[in-house]
Amino acid sequence: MSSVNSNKKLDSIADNDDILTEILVRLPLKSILRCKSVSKQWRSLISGPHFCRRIYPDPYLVSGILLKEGHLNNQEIDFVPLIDNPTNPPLKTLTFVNHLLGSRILQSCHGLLICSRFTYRDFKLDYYIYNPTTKQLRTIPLPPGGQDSTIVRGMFLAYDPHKSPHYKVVCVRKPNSWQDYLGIYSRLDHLDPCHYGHHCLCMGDYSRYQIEVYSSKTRSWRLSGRSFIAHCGVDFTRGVFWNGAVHWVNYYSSPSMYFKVDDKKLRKMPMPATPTPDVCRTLYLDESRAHLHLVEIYGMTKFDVYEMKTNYSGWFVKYQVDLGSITNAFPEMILTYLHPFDFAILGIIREADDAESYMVFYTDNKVIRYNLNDRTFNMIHDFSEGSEVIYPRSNWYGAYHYIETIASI
Amino acid sequence: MSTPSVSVNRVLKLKSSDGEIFEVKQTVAVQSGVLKQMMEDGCTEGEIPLNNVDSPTLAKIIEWCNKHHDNDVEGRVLSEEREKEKEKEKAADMKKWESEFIDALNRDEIYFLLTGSNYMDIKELLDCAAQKVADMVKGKTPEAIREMFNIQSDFTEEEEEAIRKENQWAFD
Repeated sequence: MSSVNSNKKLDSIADNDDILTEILVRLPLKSILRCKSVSKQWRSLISGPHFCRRIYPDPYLVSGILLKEGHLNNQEIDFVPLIDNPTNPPLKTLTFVNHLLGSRILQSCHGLLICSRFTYRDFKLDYYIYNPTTKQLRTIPLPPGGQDSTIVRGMFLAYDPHKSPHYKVVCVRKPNSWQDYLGIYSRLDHLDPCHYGHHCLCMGDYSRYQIEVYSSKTRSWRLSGRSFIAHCGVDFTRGVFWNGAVHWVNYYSSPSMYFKVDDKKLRKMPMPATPTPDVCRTLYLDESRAHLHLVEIYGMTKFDVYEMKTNYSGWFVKYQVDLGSITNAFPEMILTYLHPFDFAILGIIREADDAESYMVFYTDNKVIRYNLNDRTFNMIHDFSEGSEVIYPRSNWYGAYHYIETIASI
Repeated sequence: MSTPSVSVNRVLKLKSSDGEIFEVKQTVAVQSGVLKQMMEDGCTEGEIPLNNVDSPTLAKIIEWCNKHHDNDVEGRVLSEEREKEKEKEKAADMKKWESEFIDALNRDEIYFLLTGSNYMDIKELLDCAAQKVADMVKGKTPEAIREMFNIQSDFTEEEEEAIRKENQWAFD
C-alpha cells in the first residue's frame, strides 16, 4: 500500500509525545524504566508528572502497609496489601541494603521512603531516599554541620508531587557547639529525648536544636534559621509531612511542633485537651489523602479520630471509633487484647469516597481493616500461621504507607 | 450517545489529506470525538478536511468504526436474557476481529493508524494500536528499541551508565 506520507514511518512516534505516552503506559513497569535510557526525550517524558498520573491515576492510593516487626534485631519487613493487585510485587526485606542489620525506614511520604542504615566501617548512620516501587535508591549526604551523625536527631522527607517533582530533607540535629551553648545540659546527655522517645521522663526539660534543609534540586544543604529550644517530649524520631510542613508530636501536655519548609518557620501545633494532664498517651499521627489525622488512646476501646483544620485553628472529631463490637466479628477474640500493648493502629486511610475510608490495626496476631463509617471489621492478614508470635507486632512507629509511584529520586 | 443533530440516514463527507472523499454515516462518525464535537456544533456541512490522515489510513479507520457500529446496533435488538450470553460471545468475536485487523497491518500502517486515531480522537482504536506497539516494545533492550524506532541515543556513555545504575532493578 503506497502512502503520500511515506517519509513518516513508525520512527516518528519518537517525535509525538501523545502517542509515545499511549504506547509506554501499556508496558510493564520494568520495561518502562528501561525505556528511560532510550533517549533524553523518552527519559523526560517518563519522568514527568503527567506520565506518572497515567500509570497511577490516584496518587493518594495506599496499596499496602510496610510493617517492621517489633523485634530489635529482626530486619524483616512485612507487607500487608490493602488493594487487590498492587502492580508491583511486595518487598519482603530491605534487600537493597548492603548492611541489612541496622537499616530501617524512618518515614513514608507520597510514595518515597527515607531510611537510615548503620555502617560498621565507620560506625555511623547513612541516610537515603528509596522508591520501593522502582527500587531506586539515593544516599543523602550528612549536612555540613552534622558530619558526626551522632548529633543528628532525625531526618524527615518533605515531598509533595502535586507541588513539585523535587523533595527536601529536613534534618533536626543538635547545634554544633551545643555543649558550649548550654553547658548545664551536657551532663543530661543521657536523657536525650531521641534515645528514650516517649519514655523520657525529663518533663519540663528542654533541649536546643538546629534545623538544616537539603534540596534534591540543588543537591545541597542549607542551614535553616537559628537554633531553637524544644521540650524533650517532642519526638524527633518520627515526623509527618502534611500541608507543606513536617509535624512532630509531644507526648506530654506541652505543645507539639511543626516546621513549614517554605518559610522555614517553626510553630507550635495545638493539641486536643488531655483528660488527665501529663498522662503518657498512645498516639497516632499521620497523613492520608492530604488530611492530617490524630488519635489519642487512653487504654479504651472507644476513641476519636481527629482531623486538623488546614489553617491549624484546631482539631475536629472526624470519626468515632468503637472497637467493642469486634468480638461479634471475631468471637474467639477477647477484649483484653485491646490492651495498649497488644493493639496498634497501623494506618488511618482516607479514600476518594470518604464512605470507604478505613483504619488498619493490628491485634491478636491479625491485621484488621475497620471501616470508619459503617464500622465493619474485615481480617486482611493473619500472622499466626508459620510465624512466631511477637508482641507487639508493630505500632505506629513501625507501619508505613506503601504508595506506588515512578517518581525519580 | 445520540444528539439532536445526529440522524441515522445522514452522512458526513470526510476528505483525506490526499484529497479522497469518504462518506460515513453520522451514527458511525460519533466514535470520533472530533467529529462528534463538530456535529454537536452543527458544522459538518460540505467536506470535512482531515489534513493529517491519508486515504489508506482513513479507509482503515472507517472499516474499524463501521465494524464497531454494526456490533453495537445488533446488540440492541436481542431479548434481555439472551443479551448477556450473546454479549459475551460478541465481545470475544470482536476481540478476535480487532487482533486480526491490527496484526494484518505493517509497521508504517500501524503508525498512521496511531496518529490518525489520535488526531480524530477515536479512543478504542488508539488503545488497540498502542497496545500492539507496546507488545512489540515489551522485553526489548534499549538498543533494540532504538533500532525499532530509528532513534539515535543522545546520552553520553556516562549518562547512560548512570541511568542504568539508578534503575538497576529494571535491568536485572
